Amino acid sequence: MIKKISQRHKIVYYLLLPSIITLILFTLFPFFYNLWASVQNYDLIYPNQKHFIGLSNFIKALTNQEFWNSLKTTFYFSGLGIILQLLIGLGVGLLFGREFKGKNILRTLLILPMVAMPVATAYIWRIMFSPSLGIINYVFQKIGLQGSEWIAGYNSVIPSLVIVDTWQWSPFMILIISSGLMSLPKEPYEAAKIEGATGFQTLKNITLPLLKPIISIAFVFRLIDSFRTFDIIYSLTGGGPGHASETLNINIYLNAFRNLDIGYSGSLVIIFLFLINIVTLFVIRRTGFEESILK
Amino acid sequence: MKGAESMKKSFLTVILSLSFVVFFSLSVFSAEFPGPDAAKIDWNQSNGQSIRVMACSRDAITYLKNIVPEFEKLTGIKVAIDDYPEAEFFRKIIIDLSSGNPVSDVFMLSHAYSTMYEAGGWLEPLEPYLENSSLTDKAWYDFEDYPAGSLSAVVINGKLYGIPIAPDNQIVFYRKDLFEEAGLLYPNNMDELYDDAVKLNNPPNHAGVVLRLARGAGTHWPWNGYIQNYGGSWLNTETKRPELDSPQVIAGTEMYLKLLKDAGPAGAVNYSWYEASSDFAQGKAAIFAGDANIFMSSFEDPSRSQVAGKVAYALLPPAPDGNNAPAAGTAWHWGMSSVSKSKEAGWLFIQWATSKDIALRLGIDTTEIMRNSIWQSETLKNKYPTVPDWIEASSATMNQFSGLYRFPRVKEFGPLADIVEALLQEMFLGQISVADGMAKAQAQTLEVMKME
Amino acid sequence: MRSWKGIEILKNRIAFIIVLGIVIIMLFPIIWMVTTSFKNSVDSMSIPPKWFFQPTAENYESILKNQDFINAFKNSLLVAGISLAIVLIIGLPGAYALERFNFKRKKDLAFWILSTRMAPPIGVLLPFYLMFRRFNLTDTRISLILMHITINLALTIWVMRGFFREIPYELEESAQIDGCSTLGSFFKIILPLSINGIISTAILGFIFSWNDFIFASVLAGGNSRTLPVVVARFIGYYEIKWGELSAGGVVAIIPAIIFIGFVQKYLVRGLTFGALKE
Repeated sequence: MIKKISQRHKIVYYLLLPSIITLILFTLFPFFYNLWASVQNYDLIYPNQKHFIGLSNFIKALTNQEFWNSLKTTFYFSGLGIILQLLIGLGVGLLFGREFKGKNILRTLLILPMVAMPVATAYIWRIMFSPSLGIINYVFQKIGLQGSEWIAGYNSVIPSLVIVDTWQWSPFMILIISSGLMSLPKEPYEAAKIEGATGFQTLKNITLPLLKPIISIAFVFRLIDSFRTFDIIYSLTGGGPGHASETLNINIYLNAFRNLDIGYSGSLVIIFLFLINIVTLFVIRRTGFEESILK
Repeated sequence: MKGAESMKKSFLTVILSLSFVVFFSLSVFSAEFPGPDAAKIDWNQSNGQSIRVMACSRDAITYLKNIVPEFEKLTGIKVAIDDYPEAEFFRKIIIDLSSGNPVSDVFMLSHAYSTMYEAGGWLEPLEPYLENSSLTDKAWYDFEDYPAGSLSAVVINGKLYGIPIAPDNQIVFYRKDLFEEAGLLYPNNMDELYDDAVKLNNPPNHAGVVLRLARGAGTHWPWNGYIQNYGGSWLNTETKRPELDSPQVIAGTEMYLKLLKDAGPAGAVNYSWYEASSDFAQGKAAIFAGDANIFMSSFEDPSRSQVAGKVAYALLPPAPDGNNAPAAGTAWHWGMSSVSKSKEAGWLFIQWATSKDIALRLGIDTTEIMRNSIWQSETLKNKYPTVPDWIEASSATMNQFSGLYRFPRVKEFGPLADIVEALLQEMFLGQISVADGMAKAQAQTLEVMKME
Repeated sequence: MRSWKGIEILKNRIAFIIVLGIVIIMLFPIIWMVTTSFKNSVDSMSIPPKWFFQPTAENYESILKNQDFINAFKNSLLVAGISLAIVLIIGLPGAYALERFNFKRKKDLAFWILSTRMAPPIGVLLPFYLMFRRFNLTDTRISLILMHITINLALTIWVMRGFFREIPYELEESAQIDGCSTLGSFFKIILPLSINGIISTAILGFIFSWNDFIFASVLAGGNSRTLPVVVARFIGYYEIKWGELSAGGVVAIIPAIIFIGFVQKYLVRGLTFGALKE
């Protein structure tokens, strides 16, 4: 049962104020900067020539094939990724609910992919994926499986990137879920034991409902972070082959730093934010996460 | 008296051997070119100032960082050199220069972006400093020593904006042992190169040929050498109008892709120069068909390469119709910020770092050589006696800098390169035919350049 | 009863085997990195991979002698440690307020806090650089600390909210009846009971800060460079220095492992809330 303090204690403000001030200071400026840039013809080389052009950048984005491609790629990459990560995160996280030797060590080791420096591991994956120099195809061929083009293939590039992303970020889910599991109170379980509930029933009726807030928060954060993935994709494929792995985030990068078109990339940032907000709200509402976390 | 005789003799011997030693060491250790002390300027004139240098990580920069204390001692100027890997460097320098209040005084200027930076007003014209006799000893510095065309990227609207540091010239590396085994001679034209590559293609042991194809890894650079070789041009040098759908450009592109498709390694589409050069160094490719000449030093180093001593160097063979336009040659330069507060100090640094003596020491150590005199120097020949063909090929490309070099020096260069690289990948994977692909590239390029 | 216990033990064993299997698969790239760090440059690139090779410590020697690397290590520790501390200090009370109090527009505020995480790094790099440049804060550790706090705050607040939610309010109520203040119950009841959450967010916050590359590469310079930026430079101009890259990666992991291993000991299992009623 969740009860809340309904009184208007002044203390609420004191507790929240530092966080709010920090976030306002550091997030409002970039947002308004992008908003301001997005309605201008802002070329970084000619900063003095920028001028107001209304919604032209937005229209350009919405009528641009490249933009829609990047949207499709983003949803493909993130969608596939977070489902996999949820399944693995939940599965392995729940396994940690059991008692066995070396749990702490194993958990520490399991977190390593997330801990290891992305800069280094990205290049290691690049080499491992290489059809000629790489270990993965080598092993596949040795055990009789057919090698794949991995990140060098038009159709296999996104699944390959999802593999790397899942490898790196499943530990995020595993960590949160397993420590959430450990925080659960003993009483419901004891009661269930007395009533003779099976393992599966316990899982379904006690563990999962109790864990729901934790699971949903982990899932939502992973969703948000997945849209913002940059390092893995840029280091492994640069958005290629062709535009096959060019997510919206990569597209923003190319427009800002290669084309130096701050106006257009600003509009893409605004669209990106709008999109993530909608998707997040949608996921929270549709999956029933809402009561667990928004109320 | 016998004692005196022998003493005289031994005394003479000592003198002779001493002078021999001195003479010998002088000739070995004495600089082929006079050092900064010979310059008739006051190196101390900016004593106490400090400058920040932003550079792209390269062997030349590592070398300079090591010897910069010499400069600081000579001039009393404090120098902070920050270097970054290429992608990061470009990000940082853009952010820095476009802020209007850059921290960098001196920075490395890429030939590809010099026009862009000049358009933004971020570059300081350097001729006034070069011509200023209290800042520069022109006779000692010998500005004419730079190959004529090497300055083409930094002479914009008649003004000089950069001083060359190091070139990237396109030459071909090939395994002379594999060629010998197969009874092949170096090909006379590109079609023969293709045939040789296919013959030598021996998967999974080694591919016939490696080339770059990755997106964002400068693939446009060796590709540009190929299309020039076939008589094509990325942009028309006079009108600046793109010519990507011309038959010559299509022919050059076709050859580039054909080589990789029929004789290239698996996963070639994702090959940047790392994969290509390390494949070659591991003995996994017979021909590295066109990349930066500086790779020689890693290929010939037994601690880094398995093919040391087995590599031969040559120029890209001409296209079948004999129209041998030069291979891609580009250079990095030193540029100066137009709003720097230490411009004289910055110029002294640039002058010192690119002077003949320093350039020779740097060039011998790193193979990054711009100046004609160093390419011709004895010291270079003595340092790399086993690869005279490399010296020959590299210096030949230096001479080809002038005039015929065609590179899109426009401020939209970034997107233009990306258009080509993304389409090269799609054409390679068969997502689009070469003819359609180049037509698409042409259309997209026209759009970016706001032309019809 | 006996057979039931037997099944429990069996299930535990199965869980152990599955987890072990997954750990081994997941660790493969890490193991690759560790073995590569002991190879010289020719060996590290060879295919088929050399499982038997002459190990060498030259890579570690090279990076540990590198002053840049050592400075970056120090910088990373400082930035991660300080930003983590501050995030916890301001984030935990914030999460508590969000969870336990009702006030107008709470839902909107909560969602807004969540949305601060949504900004794509590329979209904020340029404005942040301009902002810090204006106040002459480029190439300082402070700018990085501020950036990392901003990134980690939303995660901390939200995850801790979830953990606070699991603690029944009755516990605080009864404590307050006994004369405890709101703040007192926060420190004496909520925090200890949510230690698992604090540990998880601490680990995550530390990792994000420790591994951050994109902000550090743009905002930091020669003085404030952190570890990821320095390690990235082993991806050199002509060749990737695999040996040093791997050694750098290994050295970078060590403090994180120590931190996580140490902090995990405090993970508490199966709290019995009933027993806490005084």
